[in-house]
Amino acid sequence: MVKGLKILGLTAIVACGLSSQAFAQDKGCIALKSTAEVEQEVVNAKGEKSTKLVPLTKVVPGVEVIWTITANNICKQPSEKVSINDAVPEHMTYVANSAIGPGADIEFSVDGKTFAAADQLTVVESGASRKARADEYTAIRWNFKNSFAPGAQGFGRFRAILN
Amino acid sequence: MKIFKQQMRRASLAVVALGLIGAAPSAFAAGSDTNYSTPVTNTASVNYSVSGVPQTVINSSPTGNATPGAGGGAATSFLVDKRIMFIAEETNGAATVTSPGLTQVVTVFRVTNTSNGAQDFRIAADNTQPPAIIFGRTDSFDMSNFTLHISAAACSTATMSTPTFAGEAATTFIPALGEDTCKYVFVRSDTPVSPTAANGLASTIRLVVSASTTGSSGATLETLSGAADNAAAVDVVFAETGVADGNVIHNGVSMAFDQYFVGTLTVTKTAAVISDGFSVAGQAKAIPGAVVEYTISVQNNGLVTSGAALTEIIPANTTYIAGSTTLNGAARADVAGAMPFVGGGAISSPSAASGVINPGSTAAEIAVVKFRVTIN
Amino acid sequence: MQSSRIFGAVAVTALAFGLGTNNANAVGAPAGTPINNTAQVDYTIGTVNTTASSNTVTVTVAEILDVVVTAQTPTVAVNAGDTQQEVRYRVTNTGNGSETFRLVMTSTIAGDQFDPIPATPSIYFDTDASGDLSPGDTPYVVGSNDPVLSADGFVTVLVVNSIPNWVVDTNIGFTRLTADSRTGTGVPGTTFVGQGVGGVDAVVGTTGADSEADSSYVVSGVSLTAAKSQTVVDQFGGARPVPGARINYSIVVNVTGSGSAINAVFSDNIPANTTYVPGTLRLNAAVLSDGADADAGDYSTTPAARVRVTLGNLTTASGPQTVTFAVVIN
Repeated sequence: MVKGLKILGLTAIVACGLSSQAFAQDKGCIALKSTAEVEQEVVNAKGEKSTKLVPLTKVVPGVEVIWTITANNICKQPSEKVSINDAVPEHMTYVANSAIGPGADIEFSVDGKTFAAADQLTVVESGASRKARADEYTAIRWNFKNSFAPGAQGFGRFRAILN
Repeated sequence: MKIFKQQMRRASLAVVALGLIGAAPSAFAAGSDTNYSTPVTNTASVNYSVSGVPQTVINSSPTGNATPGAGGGAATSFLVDKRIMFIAEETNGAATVTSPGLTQVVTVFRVTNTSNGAQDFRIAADNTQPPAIIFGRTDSFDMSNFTLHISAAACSTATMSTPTFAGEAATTFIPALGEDTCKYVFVRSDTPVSPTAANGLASTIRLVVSASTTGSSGATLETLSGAADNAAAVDVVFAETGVADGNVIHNGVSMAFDQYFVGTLTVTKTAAVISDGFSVAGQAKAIPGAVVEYTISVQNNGLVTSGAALTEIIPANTTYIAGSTTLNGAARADVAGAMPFVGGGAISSPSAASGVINPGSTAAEIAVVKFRVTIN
Repeated sequence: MQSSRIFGAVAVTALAFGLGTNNANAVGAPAGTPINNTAQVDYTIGTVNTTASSNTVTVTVAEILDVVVTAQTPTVAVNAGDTQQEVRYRVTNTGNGSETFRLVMTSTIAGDQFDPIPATPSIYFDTDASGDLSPGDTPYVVGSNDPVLSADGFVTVLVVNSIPNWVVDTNIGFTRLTADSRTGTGVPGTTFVGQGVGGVDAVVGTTGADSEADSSYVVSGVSLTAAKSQTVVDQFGGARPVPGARINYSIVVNVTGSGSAINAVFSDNIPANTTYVPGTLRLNAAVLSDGADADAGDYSTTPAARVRVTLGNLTTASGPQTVTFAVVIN
């Protein structure tokens, strides 16, 4: 992280005199991170239960993994029309209604190409069109409605179970 | 079997969820579990614009990537860990009939692997007892010289059967038993001689199946990995769930029990006073001169015999009535003027070959010899 | 006559009297004998040879109740007015277990010419095995000393009657002894459950568990008389009975009447203060040796010095029997 900070500083200086396009060739304005975690139940001193995300324990079939994609605007300018794409990992099944993304419209796809809101996504089966099931989703897209101010951060999150 | 498997999977989930929360999956894919050591990867991407100008897509990395383009970023990934799940079962819910001194008597178990991938197992058999008696019989003696053999017969996880031993070589492990497949395991052992092994006594034996590491020929057992995941390694989770017969869940060991039951011939002898010269039928007394009919019933509680032979003694104070002997209702001629079984003579079930007594308790199987004497 | 006694109508045999046991096993296995039997079956399972034995079945021999009374003296010669005349029976347990028997006698039996008069008591055991009624014999008291006989065991019993004095020669009077099992009697096959030896069933045998036998008193009319005479010869050529003088005795036995004196024996004690002269015993002038041997006479000093001559069966046709012997005065 120390090294990353140095690069960050250098980028900020260079960016002052360059067009955004030229800048894009070398270093983008968004740092994108994908994290896999599991949820753990903790009980406090009062006996109250709560949950927190912890690093992965052993992952065997049936285990639910929480994927978090974090986008961080590292430029001095705002980033607009931020849209995060993530495929549901192979060997995993999306958990219905688990996708969240503050400030984003969430769309799903069953083929990785066509995205739509959950209630508008359809599949054709045996010649008939029907609403897609959550376990059929193969990709998720978060479309952030507002620009990311410099230093601002947004994230999308979903749960998937290992097949 | 699908139901069985799902139950196991759910149980497994519950185990892993000790420290986890999460709604139970609403639907499981019907297909195979993801094999251990399979990498699961995720790379997200982001599109955005700066000052109205679309920028090059950026891929994610585990720590955060800002380098645009296909060459930037790295997948966030982990290896699927090994969920070891299996069960040893006795196949036919019944004891195996044996006979005193009989060796290499076969009992059959099935070992089913429902781990997420192929698994090696160590197998062993001994005289250790379950917490409760099985098949309604208390263990009363030990078998010896256990050997184990993997059946060459096809094994179905859906339908239990009890194959016949076909000369398979002895072994101590099952190598690479595929996911959702099974093997029948023959346990062979020797029966002690009488009277340690006597009619009606039983010996309960145990098969112990332990998960062992791939390629170790059963020598090295799998061990539970530490709590934290090593994303770059295949960790081990024990997930077997059976608790019957003293099994402990999640210890990488499954035990099953079977029983040997000793069945021998039982020989029952009765005597009836047929006539005493005075009394009406049925009330004759055993006075000198009375005719006594002996009936010897030979019932086989065990395995089909060969060479069955009855030896009789004409009791003291009595005289054999010449020609009075029958076997299964048919006259049996005297031998050298004596009762034909005095020196030993072959007997059999009705309609069976000489010396063959078939197991069973009906008149079709029981051999019956009758003869008469007079009281001196 | 004072020192002579004649024993008539005595049939002496070598059999011991009183309780005894026949050697022959008349009825077979003793009551209560367990007849055990076990069967064995040898067989093979695979290559293993195994043996199975049956339970031992036991048949316990039941008791047969059987008794036989036999008259040992079927016919006894008596004279009118005789008293204490005994007839001898043997009561044999022909069953197969120890059994107690009751004895009953009667002399009131149809078909004879007179009823002998039972003595009191009328039944004796021949306790001293003498074969005749003697002071050592024990009277039988029903219910008190009923004889207990082992299987094949027997007892000799004497039945005693007197003969009326009005009977005449050749009259016959019957007397009868009956023995029955105390366990019970009945038609053969009658069963007394659990009442046999050791609790086995008792079954009445072919005899009905009772038996009787008759004997006959026959008024024989036979009478023996003995006339004794003596001559003294002293060493001085005289006839004075002085020490050293010799006495020659001559006894003539005469038979009168219609009957036979069976096994008549002449016996005469040597008088006190005299000594028998060896070699002087004669029967009808025939010399008899002094030893107890093949000839009819012998001399014995025990229990007292006496001479004895067996005369055999005597009838009137036998004629007078003359016995002579000599003694010396001490």
